[in-house]
Amino acid sequence: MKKKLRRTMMYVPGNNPGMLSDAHIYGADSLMFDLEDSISLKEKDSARLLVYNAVKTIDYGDVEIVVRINGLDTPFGRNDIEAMVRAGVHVIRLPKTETAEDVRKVEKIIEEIEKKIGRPIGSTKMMGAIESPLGVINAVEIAKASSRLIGIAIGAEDFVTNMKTKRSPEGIELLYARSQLLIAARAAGICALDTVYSDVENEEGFRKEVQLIKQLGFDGKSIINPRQIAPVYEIYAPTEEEINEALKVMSAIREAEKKGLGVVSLNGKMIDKPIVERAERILELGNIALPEKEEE
Amino acid sequence: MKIVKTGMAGTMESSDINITIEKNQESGIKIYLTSSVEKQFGDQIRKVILETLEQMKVNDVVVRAVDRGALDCTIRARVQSAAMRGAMSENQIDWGLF
Amino acid sequence: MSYNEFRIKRIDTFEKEIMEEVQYLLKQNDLTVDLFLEERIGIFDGKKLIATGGIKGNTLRCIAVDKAHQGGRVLNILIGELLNIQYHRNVNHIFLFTKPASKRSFEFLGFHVVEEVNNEVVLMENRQDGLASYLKGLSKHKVDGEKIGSIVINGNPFTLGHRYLIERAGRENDYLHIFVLSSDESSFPYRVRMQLIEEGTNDINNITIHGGGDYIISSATFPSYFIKEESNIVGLHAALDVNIFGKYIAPCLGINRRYVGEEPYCAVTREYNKTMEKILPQYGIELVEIPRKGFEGGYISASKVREAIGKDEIEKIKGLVPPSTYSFLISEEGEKVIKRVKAYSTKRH
Repeated sequence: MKKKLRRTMMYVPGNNPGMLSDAHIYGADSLMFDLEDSISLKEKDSARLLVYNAVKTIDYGDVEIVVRINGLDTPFGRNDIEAMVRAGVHVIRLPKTETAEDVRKVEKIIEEIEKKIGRPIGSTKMMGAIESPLGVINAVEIAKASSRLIGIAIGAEDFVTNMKTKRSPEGIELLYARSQLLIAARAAGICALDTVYSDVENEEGFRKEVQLIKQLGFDGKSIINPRQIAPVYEIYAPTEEEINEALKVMSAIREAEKKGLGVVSLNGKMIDKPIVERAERILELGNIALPEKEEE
Repeated sequence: MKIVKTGMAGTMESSDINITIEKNQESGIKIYLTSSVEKQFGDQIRKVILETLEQMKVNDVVVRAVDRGALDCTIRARVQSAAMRGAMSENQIDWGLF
Repeated sequence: MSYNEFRIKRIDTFEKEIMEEVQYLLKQNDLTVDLFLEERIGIFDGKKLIATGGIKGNTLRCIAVDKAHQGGRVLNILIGELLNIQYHRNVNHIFLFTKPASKRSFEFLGFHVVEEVNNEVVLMENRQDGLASYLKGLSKHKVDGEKIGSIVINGNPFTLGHRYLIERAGRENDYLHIFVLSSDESSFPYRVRMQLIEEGTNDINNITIHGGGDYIISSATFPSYFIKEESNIVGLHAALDVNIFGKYIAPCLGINRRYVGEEPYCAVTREYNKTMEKILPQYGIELVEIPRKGFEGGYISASKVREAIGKDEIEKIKGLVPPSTYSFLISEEGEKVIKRVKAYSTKRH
C-alpha cells in the first residue's frame, strides 16, 4: 500500500466556511481543521457544527482531513470527538498532549462512538500535538500509546514560553524537543511533523526552517498559509540523482523477483530493507510512478 | 426541539450565511431571506433551511437569513447552530436531530 | 491563522492613539466621534485601523470604513461582528442611520429601509417585517371616531403640565393615543415614566397609552455625530421622526390630530414643532399647539421638576406634579430614581 505523504499539514480555522470549502484546492497533503485555538469560546459550538457538516458533505478527494479538537479538560472536547467521529474525519488531533494517558482517554471515547454508530473500530486515526516540556519528556510513551496514532507533532509556541525562551531563526531552542520527538516517532514507526512558522511574509526564514527540519528527518511541517506549500515541496523534492538511484534500486528488485532470487544486489552491493524504503520514499516525494511491471 | 430564546449563528462574510431564529408569535415557520443569489438559489436556500428545521423538530419560528453565497452544508450548519443556541442546548447535542 | 486575517479589537475611549485613528477614519467619512457609545470596535490590517463601528442601545453607530477598503469584505466583517456583540447583549432588533449612498451596502447585509428623508438620512432596521409587525400590533388598538388625537411624551417625569395637555386633548377628541418615548436615555427609567403616566391618567377613559417602540425616534437615539453642520441635525431628526409618524403610525390608528405644548424655553423643541407644522398636514394631520399651564408666574415643565429634585427641594414639586408622581418620589423606589436624577443633572440637562 502506498504510504501517505505528510509534507504539508495546513491549518484552516474551523469557523470560516469559505476556507473550509476550498482549502483542498491548494494542494496540501493534509488539512487540519481547527476547533481549538483559532476559535473563540463563544463560537466553539458553531465551528464544531460547521466542520461536521463540511466533512460530511464536501468531497476533499485524496486530501487527508485532520481535525484539531479541544482538550478533554474543556467543556468542548467530548462533543468535538463525537462530532468528528460521526462526520468521518480521517484523523483526530489532540492538542497539548502530555501523557500516554491523554491519548488513551481520547481513544476510549472514539471507540465508544465508533461502536455506537457502527463505524469499524479503529477507523478513526489519531495524532498528538506535543506542546510542553512534560509532553516532550513523555514523547516516547505518547507515540506508543495507541495503534490509532499516525503521528506526533510539535507545537513550539507554548513550549518555548514554558522553557522561558522564544523562537530564534536558527531554532537552537527547539533542537532537543525536535530530536526527542523524532526519535519517539521513529521508534514507534509513526510520522513526525514540525511546528508552524507564523511569519508568512518571511519566505527566506521559512525556507531555512524547512531545510533544517528536513535534515533532522521530519516528515513535514504544519503550515498556516497556502503560500507556504510550494517551498516545502520544493525543498522536500528529491534530486534527479536520488531519483535515478531509487529507480535503479526498484528495477533491481523487480529483476530479482522475476528470477526468483531471495537476495537482491545492485552494482555488487546487497540491497537491504532500509535501502528499499528510502528508494520508495524518494519516488513518492518526487511523485514518480514505479516502473510498470513488464507483462509476461 | 423548543426554541426558548433568539438564536443566531454565522457571519456576514462571503460563503457564509447569518441565521437568526426566534419564536414565531403565530404558528408555522416563516423565512425572511436576503441573498445576492436570491434569483437563482433562493428556493434552494429556503428548502435547506426548512429541511434542517424539520429534521431538528423545530416549529413555529421566524428565520432571518442573510446569505453570502453559502453552500448547502454551511446553511445546514448555521441553522443547526442557531437552533441549538435558541434552545439553549449548544453543548447537549442530540445527534439524532442532525 | 487565516490566509488574510484582519484583526478585530474592542476600542476603549481612553486608548488615545487608536481614538485618534478612529477620529481620522470617521472624518474621512464626514462623521464625528460619538463619545457615549456602549461598545466600539476596530478592524486592523496589521497595525492600521481600517474600519470602526459602535453600539448604543439597539443602534449601530459611528460606522466608517477606510476608503481603500470600501466595497469589500471589511464592512461585512464589521457589521457581522457588531451584530454578534448585540446578539450576546440580547439585542436582536437592530437599527442604524446612514446616508442614502450607503443604503445598498446595508441592504446587502440584511437591513431594510424604514424611512428616508431629504436625501440626507436613512433609517434602516435588520427586520424585513419590523415596521409592519409593529403596525400590526398597534392597529389592534384602533378606535373608531371622527376626531382621533395623539400626543408623544417623554414624561421625565409626568407633571401637571402633561396632565393638562392630555385632559384637554381628551376632551377635544373622540379618542386619544399617547405615545411614551421608549429610549432609556432619560433620568427617569422608561418603566417608571410609563407607570407614572398610567397612574396619573387612569381617571381619563378615552385614551390608550402606547410604549413608543422603536419607531418614535427620540433625539437621544438620533445620531448627532452624523452631519457636518450641527444646525442641520434637529430639522433632519424631526423630519425623519414626523414622516414615520405621519406616514405609518397615524393612519394605522386613524389619527388626524397631534397635540403639543407650546415651547417657551427650548429652541430645539420649537424647531421640532415647526417641522411638525410643515410635515403633518401633508398626511392629513392637524397640529394643535396648546399654551402651557402656568404656575407661580412661570410654566410647569419636567425639567423644573428635575431641577428641584437636584436641589433636594422635594416639597416644591408638590405644585408641579399630580399626587401619583409625588407619592412615587417620596417612596423607597422613588429614592433610587432621585439618586439617578441627581447623577444625570450633573451630566446633561
